[in-house]
Amino acid sequence: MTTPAREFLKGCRNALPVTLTFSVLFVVVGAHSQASGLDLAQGLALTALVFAAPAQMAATDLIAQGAWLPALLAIIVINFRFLLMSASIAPYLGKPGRGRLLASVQMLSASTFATSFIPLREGSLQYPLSYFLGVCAASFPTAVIATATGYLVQDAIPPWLQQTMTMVLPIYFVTFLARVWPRTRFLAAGVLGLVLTPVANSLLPGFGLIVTALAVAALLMLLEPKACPKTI
Amino acid sequence: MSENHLIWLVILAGAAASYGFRSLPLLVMSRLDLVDSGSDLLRFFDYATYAIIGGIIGSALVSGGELTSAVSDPRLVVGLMTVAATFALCLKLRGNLLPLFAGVGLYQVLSWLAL
Repeated sequence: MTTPAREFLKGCRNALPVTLTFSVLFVVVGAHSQASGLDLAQGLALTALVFAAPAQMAATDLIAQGAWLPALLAIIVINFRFLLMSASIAPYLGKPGRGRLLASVQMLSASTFATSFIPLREGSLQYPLSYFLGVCAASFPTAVIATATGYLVQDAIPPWLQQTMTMVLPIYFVTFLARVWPRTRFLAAGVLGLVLTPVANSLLPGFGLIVTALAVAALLMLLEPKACPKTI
Repeated sequence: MSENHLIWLVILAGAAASYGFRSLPLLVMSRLDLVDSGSDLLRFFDYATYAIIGGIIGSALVSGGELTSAVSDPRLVVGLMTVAATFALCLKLRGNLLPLFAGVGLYQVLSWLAL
């Protein structure tokens, strides 16, 4: 029998690749915070409150240069993508109370979003918020602990291992795209996102992901057959 | 204002903005019954989600975010080969973990060979 606890644990299990990646990625973030002149509390607060490695890396770089306003703008621009992720996942989280939603939403990141979205969209979960919380419960504390570890033990991980571990998450995301086969329109959205986002990022730094996602979605909506819109 | 205070100000203001981006759509859209109605808005966000997932993969492949230097970087070729092989493996196997570990192993082997 399915219970909220079981779906929470399922979320924890499915977050294993995220946990592995975060345990390396946020060690790097923590070490970077230390090198940029933040104290331990500030490094931990950045992870716990901003919770987005790309935004944190950019902000700590700028803080080290004393560029306070650009650092803030970097966080705002890079985390703007959460607006779209939140809007995408919201319809699938069921109807939990507002308090539970507000408490859990802080742990929404690109990784927890992608790990949760596909199972939620498949509709196989009876307690979607419990599943999402399971994914977050395995990921978020890992990020905080890894930040502290990186801050205290700089350069603990050799560069070749860092490079390999940073590929864990993208490879994991490929498995999500493969799961939509043979629904070619969703697959096309993924492939277009893969190809166009780096180009858009080079033209509009920080906004590439969200601009590409909106453009691809709009294009595919336009290309949908009008007579049978539910055949995707 | 001291440097320490300014750092805290950046962190807290960045946190407030990030929380706003995360929470506002969730609060608004969780009140709408989009799943059962199969609305255009829901399909739009579904497409956008897969584009985001693809975009995260693409951004990771372009290491450092510099497109012009990445084009001549062998790591991009290694990454693309890994992505294609993992995708093909996923179509043959059930589950995510085996293709994941195979993909990471393949990336490591290809990196040693190419870099």
